[in-house]
Order: sequence, then structure tokens, then C-alpha cells
Amino acid sequence: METESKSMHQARSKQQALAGHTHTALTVPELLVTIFSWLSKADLTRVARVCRFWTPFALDKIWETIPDLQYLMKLYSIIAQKAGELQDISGGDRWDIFWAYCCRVRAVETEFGPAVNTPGVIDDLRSQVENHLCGSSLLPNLRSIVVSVRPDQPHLTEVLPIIPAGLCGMKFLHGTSSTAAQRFLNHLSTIPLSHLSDVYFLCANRDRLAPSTLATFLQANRATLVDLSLHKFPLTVSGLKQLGSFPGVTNLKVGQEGAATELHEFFGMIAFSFPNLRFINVTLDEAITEDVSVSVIESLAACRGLRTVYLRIRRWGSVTAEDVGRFGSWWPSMQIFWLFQLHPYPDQVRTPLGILQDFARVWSRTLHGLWLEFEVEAPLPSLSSVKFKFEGMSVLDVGHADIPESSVDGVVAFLRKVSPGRLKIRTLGRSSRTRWDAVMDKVNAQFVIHEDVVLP
Amino acid sequence: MSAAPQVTLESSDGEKFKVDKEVAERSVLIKNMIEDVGESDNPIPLPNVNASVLKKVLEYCEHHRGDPLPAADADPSNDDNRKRATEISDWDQKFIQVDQEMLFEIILAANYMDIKPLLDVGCKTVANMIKGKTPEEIRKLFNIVNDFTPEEEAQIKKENEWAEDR
Repeated sequence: METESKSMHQARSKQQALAGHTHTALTVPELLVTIFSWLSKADLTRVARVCRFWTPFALDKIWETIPDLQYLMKLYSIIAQKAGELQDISGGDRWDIFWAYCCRVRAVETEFGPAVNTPGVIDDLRSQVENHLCGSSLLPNLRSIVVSVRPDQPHLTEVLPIIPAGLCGMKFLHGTSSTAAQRFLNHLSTIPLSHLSDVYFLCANRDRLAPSTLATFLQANRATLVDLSLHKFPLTVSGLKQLGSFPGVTNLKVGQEGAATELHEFFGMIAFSFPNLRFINVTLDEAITEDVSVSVIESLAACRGLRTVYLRIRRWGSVTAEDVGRFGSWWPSMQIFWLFQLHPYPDQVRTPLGILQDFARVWSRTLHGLWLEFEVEAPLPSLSSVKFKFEGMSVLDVGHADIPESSVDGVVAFLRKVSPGRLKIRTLGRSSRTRWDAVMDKVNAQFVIHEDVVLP
Repeated sequence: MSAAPQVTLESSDGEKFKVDKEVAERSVLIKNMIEDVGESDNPIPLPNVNASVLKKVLEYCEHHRGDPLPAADADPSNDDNRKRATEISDWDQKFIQVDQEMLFEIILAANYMDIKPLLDVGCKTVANMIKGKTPEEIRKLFNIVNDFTPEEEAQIKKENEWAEDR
């Protein structure tokens, strides 16, 4: 039977080749979408010209994400220009072509064009939008946008009509206090965005937008905000107070500026303003040089849903078994508990392994990731006394220090017992890995070196 | 020694294939069918897949029987997955070195039987064939008729020129 089917099969393909038939697979939209998803934009520009049937699938992919709005402006001038002049393309085929492109755009990835050197295009486009779209947006399917604000950008507010009510994500780079930025944000606050859930602000220098300007915008979208990142936009306690409260936010990244003495209040303010956090990432002020006591974290206890905690500071103070016990009682389902850099102290009896065991006591079933430096040479706990293990530990950050040579075997035996699964051990910097290499050879571990650990 | 549970699959042209259930279940379609119908001795019909293609597909499933399911392997630090993804593993590369007709039949079967990793291998292979080629070369390669006027083709090129070096 197989021979028969094979000959039939061969006959069919020969027939198709003779007739010049395209294989059916190349006429199935979902397959074309999958094939095209592996191609670069450059390849897709050629694919788009193969045949009519393929064109829309290739164009969808090319225009799904555009790097800059200026490409849309240029497209408009290509389509609307005749004999060097922009024409009124109202209601005609040419408008339909342009509009089809607009509908494809789902993300604008880097920035508004710094210089839209096509005089008249923006004004013309705006009047076309008003004529045809009756107040609807030029990019109805736009879901995320990155806005880069520079002082020399006159066009920022003029392109606001492109932003649709369905926008979900927005990145705001260079959130400076320039007039352009403030005008843009104030305008944006008046647009009824109904789905904005993901907002990111970045401004590295000191000339930032005032927290009150930020607050107006964030409060306007309070109902839908879920994910808020002010990581490179450090706030003081009073700045945080001005933002107001956001019960819908579950993920928060924020930078802190101010003295170590304000930290209790800072975390207290976070817990008050963002009571339903599941994920938190705080980078504390670099100017804080003293060790910070883990007791400041107490103020976050009100956020009972916390699962992922990244708190970055120059150095944390010591952590006791009682501290860890309290963390466990506040947050029974903790998955990642990452206090950069958590050290055991030489003058303490407690070893890193002892601290690890404390964590295993409270979060043995839930913990995936932890930071703990292993520099201290201290008596290893006897293995028979180790009764705990992490079911799902996958990343252990061990910082700068190599382990003492005499500890290698002990650490291996301990890790094997405490973390039976596959473990990724990350160190900071190359110099510190020699003895960890020996550990890796013996434990089921994958060793990754990070010059600087990148946090989510 | 108790044998691993087996199932029988029947191709469009009536040929029967007896394979380990674990192998057949690389196909989400078959996995769901077994879950819905329960264990049974009746052959599972695959009316869209002929014997020569099914044989090839089962060879793939056999080789990848122990693989973790694709979704479980998502490592967020590996975001460049997509970029490097047109690389295909050595075994898969060899496996997919078939004539064009068979390649497309495998893709259709993988799509119908819902075997995502095989579908990806097939589609990546087609994408690799397309890479770097002109529209005319692509048409020739796949027997596609050019239904554009030169003006239309030039217009599309112009409208998308910005993407040509990306």
C-alpha cells in the first residue's frame, strides 16, 4: 500500500510542478504568518513583492513595530505627493492604502522623530485625521509606544492624535522638566486612555519632571495601571507621597533618593500607596554608604501579596533567624527574595549556610531565587542536622566573594541536600569564581558569571 | 516486562502505524483525542496525512520523545532566542533535508497534528530558503505566478524602502 501511495504522491507533485502550481502550504495564512515571523524586515520587503496574496502578511509584519514615527510621515508624503506637492487624498484609494498601513502599527519602539523634515506633513496629516477619522486615532491598533522627549522637539504635542484609547504600554524616556515634556504629559493626561496598564519613566539626570506633573498623569490612569516603573526616576519620601495611591498596581520598580534614616518611612509610604504589590524592585540611594538594617523592610509587611522582592543597596546589615521567620510569616509564598548584598558577618556564629537553612525553613516550597554571599569561613552545619530543602530553587546569587577553599566540599554536600533540582549559581565578576567552579563540577549547577546582575 | 502503552494511527491512505503512546502524544491533536475518547484499541484516523508523511512525522516524534515541552523552557534572560532561532539543531537539519513537496507536506501535517516544534523547524527551513532572495528568485523557487504590474511592484518597494536595511 505504501508503494502505491508513494507513486500517487510523486505523480501529484510532478503534476503540480508541470502546471506551475504553488504548494497549498504557501496559501495557508497561518503558515505564512509563521514563516514570515522568522524573517527580517529587509527580507520581508522582498517577500511583500512576490505576489498579491503574500503582500498583506509581509506588510503586517514589517509595520507591526516601527522604530520611529517619521517613517509614517514619510509614507504619507510618498502616498499623498504628486509632482512635488501634497495632494488632498480624502476619501480616495490613496487614503485607503495609507490607512491600511496605519492599522498595522502595534508598537512604536524608540522615539518620536527628532526632526520630521517634511514640512506640512504633520499639519496636513492632522487635517486628514480630522476629516476622516472623526476624532479617532491615526494608529487605532497601537498598543505600546516609547516617547523620547528632548527640549528641541516642537512636534511632540502635535502627534498626540496618533495615540488611541486602547494604548496599553508607554515608555517615557528623558522625563526632563522641559516645557515640551510637561506640555506633552499634560495633554496626555486629558486623553481618555482606557487600557493603559504599563508605564515606564526614565530620567537619569537631576532635571526631572516634578512628582506633581507625574502624579497628574498617573492618577488620570489610576484605574488601569498595573505595572509602574520609576526605576531610573528616583523619588524621595515626599515625592512618593505626591503620587497618591494605586491599589491596582501589582508590579513596582522605583528608585529611592534620600538618607538611610528615611527608609522606614519610604517603605511605609510604598505599602500605603501600593497595597496590592506582588513584585517590587527598589534601588536605594547610592549615597547611603552605611549598612542598612533589614528591619527597614518591616514597613513593607502590609503588602501581603508580595512574591518577588528585589532590594538593591550598597550593603545590608546582618539577618537573624528571627528576621527570616518574620519575613516568612508576612509573605508565606515568596518566590524571589533578593537583598543585594546580604552578607553573613565574620563576627557572627552564623554562616551563609545557616542563613540559607533559615530561608529553607520558611520558604522551602516556594523560593526560586535568593542573594547570599558566601565569603565567610565558619563551621559548616552537620549534614545530618539539615532537614530542609528547596523544592524549586533555580537561581542563587552569591556575589563577589569566592568561597574559602576548605569549604568547597561542605558547600557541595550542603547544596546537594538543600537544593536537589537544577541550580543556576551567579557570581559578580570573573575573579571570584575559581572555587565556585569546583562546586559547580560537583553539584547539578550551571554557573553564570555576571559583571552586573540585570534585574527584571 | 510490561510494554509501554501503545496506540495505532491510521493514515489517509489506510496504512496503520503502531507507536508508543508517549511518541504519538507529541501531537497535541492526538493527545487531546486520547484524552477525550479514552484508551481504546481502535486506530486513530488522520485523514489529512498520508503514509509517507506520517512515517516521517513519527520519526521526528520518536527522536524527540523525551524533550521538555516548549513552553516550560522559557528563560527570560534568553530574549535573543528569537534572533538566533533560525538555527536548527543538527539532527533536525538532517531530518528536514527532503524535497520541497515533502517539506510542505510535513509542515501541513505538523500544523494539522499540532506539533509546534516540528512546525517551527519546517517554517524556519522555508524562511531560510527565502532569505536574501529577490522576489523573482522566490517566485521561481516556489512556482509562484507574478500577478503584479511593474508599477505596482515598484510602488510597494517605495512605500517600504525604509525597512530594506533592517
